[in-house]
Amino acid sequence: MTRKQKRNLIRIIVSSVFLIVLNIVPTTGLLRAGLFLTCYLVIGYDILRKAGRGIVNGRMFDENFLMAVATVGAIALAVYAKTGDYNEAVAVMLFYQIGEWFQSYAVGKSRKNINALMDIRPDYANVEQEGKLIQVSPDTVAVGSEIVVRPGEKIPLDGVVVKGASSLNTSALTGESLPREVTVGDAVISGCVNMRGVLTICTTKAFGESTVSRILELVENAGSRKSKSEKFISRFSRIYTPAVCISALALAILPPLVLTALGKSGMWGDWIYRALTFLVISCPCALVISVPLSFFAGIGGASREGILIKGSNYLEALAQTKYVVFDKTGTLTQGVFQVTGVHHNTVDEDTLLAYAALAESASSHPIAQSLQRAYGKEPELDRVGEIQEISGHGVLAVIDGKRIAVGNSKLMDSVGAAYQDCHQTGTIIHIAIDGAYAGHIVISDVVKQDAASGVAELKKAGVKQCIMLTGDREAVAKDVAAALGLDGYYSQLLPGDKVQRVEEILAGKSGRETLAFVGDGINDAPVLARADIGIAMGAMGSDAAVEAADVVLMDDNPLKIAKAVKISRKCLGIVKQNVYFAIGVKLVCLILGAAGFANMWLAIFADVGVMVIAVVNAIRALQVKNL
Amino acid sequence: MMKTYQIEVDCANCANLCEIEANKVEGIASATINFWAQKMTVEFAPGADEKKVMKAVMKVCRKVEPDFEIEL
Repeated sequence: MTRKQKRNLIRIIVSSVFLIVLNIVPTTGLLRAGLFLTCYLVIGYDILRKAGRGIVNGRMFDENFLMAVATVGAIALAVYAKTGDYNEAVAVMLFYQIGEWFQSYAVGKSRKNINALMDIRPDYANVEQEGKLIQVSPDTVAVGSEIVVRPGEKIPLDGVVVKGASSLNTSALTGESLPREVTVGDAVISGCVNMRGVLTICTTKAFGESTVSRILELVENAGSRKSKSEKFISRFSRIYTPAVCISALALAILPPLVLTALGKSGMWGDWIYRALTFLVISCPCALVISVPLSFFAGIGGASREGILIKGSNYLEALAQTKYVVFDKTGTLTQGVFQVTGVHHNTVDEDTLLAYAALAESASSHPIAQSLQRAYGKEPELDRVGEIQEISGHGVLAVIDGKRIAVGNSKLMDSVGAAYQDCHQTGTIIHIAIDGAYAGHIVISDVVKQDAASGVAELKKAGVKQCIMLTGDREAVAKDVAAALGLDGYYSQLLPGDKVQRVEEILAGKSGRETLAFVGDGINDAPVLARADIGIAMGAMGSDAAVEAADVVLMDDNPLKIAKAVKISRKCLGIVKQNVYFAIGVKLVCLILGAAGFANMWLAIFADVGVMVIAVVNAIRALQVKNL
Repeated sequence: MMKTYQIEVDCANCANLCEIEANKVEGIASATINFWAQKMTVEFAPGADEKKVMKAVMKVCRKVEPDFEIEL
């Protein structure tokens, strides 16, 4: 509770007790009026003051004004009618204050909750000085310093492990619950929690450029980009309040005038009371509060799952996603070439792999590297004799005294080996031993484990088309598209062609539908910018991705795309519920009030009750774990 | 020139109104209030005197909401 909240709570309690006592102890005449007025001033003085200032500053129609007019009006009625019933005016003010207090408390509480969720900011870094570890602010640590992270502590700055090994909990950043193993030489990012061993880290970035700072900045600035719904609400509330005030005035004056003209009793008191009820109902707070809160909570919940959304407007657009266009390499596939098969081998697989790896041991080509990874050992260079590289064909090498040829079909032709073609797509590496064909190795990019289920989830979430764009060959593209159940693919595209394809798809979609492009962000920047929503995969490390995209997935799991869409749908659903609920209840109460069926109590509910319900509903947007 | 200020404002509607008023202040290119983060992001017009401008912003915002506070 803030100081202001405490003060107001005391005022509420004091005046409640006061009001109850006044109703038990019988008083009459001026004394009664005086006591009630005192009670009224205790609970409502700040509202009256604010209303007065509002009038002076030419800002008539705010809620303070409404409450002041309504309660002063009720007191005037009581005096005029000589009923001595001041209860209503005081109670209306009291309940309004209770509502305000509860709202301020709920809002403060939910703000704290959301902020705590996003609190990945490290408080200190351990630096060794004169043999002792001291805690310093992460701001002050220079790039290239060594910091020590003990078990249970957050890594404060991005860096490289120079000593120790441990597992890291990355869930605060990625929503991924599996710990990540790190050891000497591995890059680590700030915000992860060290779980086991002591790590010494050489920092590679200053605090301001570290992952944690970048994420925090992104999430905090997200609220500055307002969605259409938010803009609608602030426009709406600007028209709504004056409109209600004018209607209330009309309600107070016109019917009695008409009735008097018709020669009946004007019932002025009755109509003024109705007009006052009208004013109490009219406050647009429920809408003004709950809509931005829903977005704020939605963005907070998403960031907890490792999905960073740069603004409410993107969250809104994401909910309308009907087309998802993927980049292939690095997005749907791992972008790493792996040995995926060994066929027609005359010697056993390991031997064949060993020959290929040893023959390519001098090369730094990606293919050579994947062969060596598959071999799994340091190549025993003493087994390798002379190596001869034939550009565009492959390698001839002498290994264990045998003449090994490793390369493409042209190389096989030149050494006179009868090679066999492969039915699999990918890069085929033929091997011949002493001029006789010994089999081939297939190397290809591997589809990510969750890519197929990611596409399926998107379909389930109502996405019409999933399309893949790739610079890769037709055969490869066709294979991947079929394996993942995509609706279409375009192959052999240059980066510029990708923009063109996306524009074609954009032209084909209808009005409210949106198109999301998912890429790894490094060479996809133009497409990310052109699409309605650019989603970058794997923000860890890639500045380009964070810059160009509207939504950033912290880890590169394709399942998260569907999750992001679902979170946005839930959030937008809540926004709609709140808007319809609040406007609906208010309209009904306004009609009831105009017809004379609603009293002040119902009016207070329509104002404060609706607002509290809307706020509680908005908080639901935070819960996205099980979507 | 962009700058973010910590603010204190305790009603969302007031925050909206303050934002509208702040945008009318001379020297402000654009001002946005993030009620939930209690932050005000200000883009100053070129050549504007930050301190003077923010004082003016504070003044117009206080007119709307007397409890408005900016940590300068």
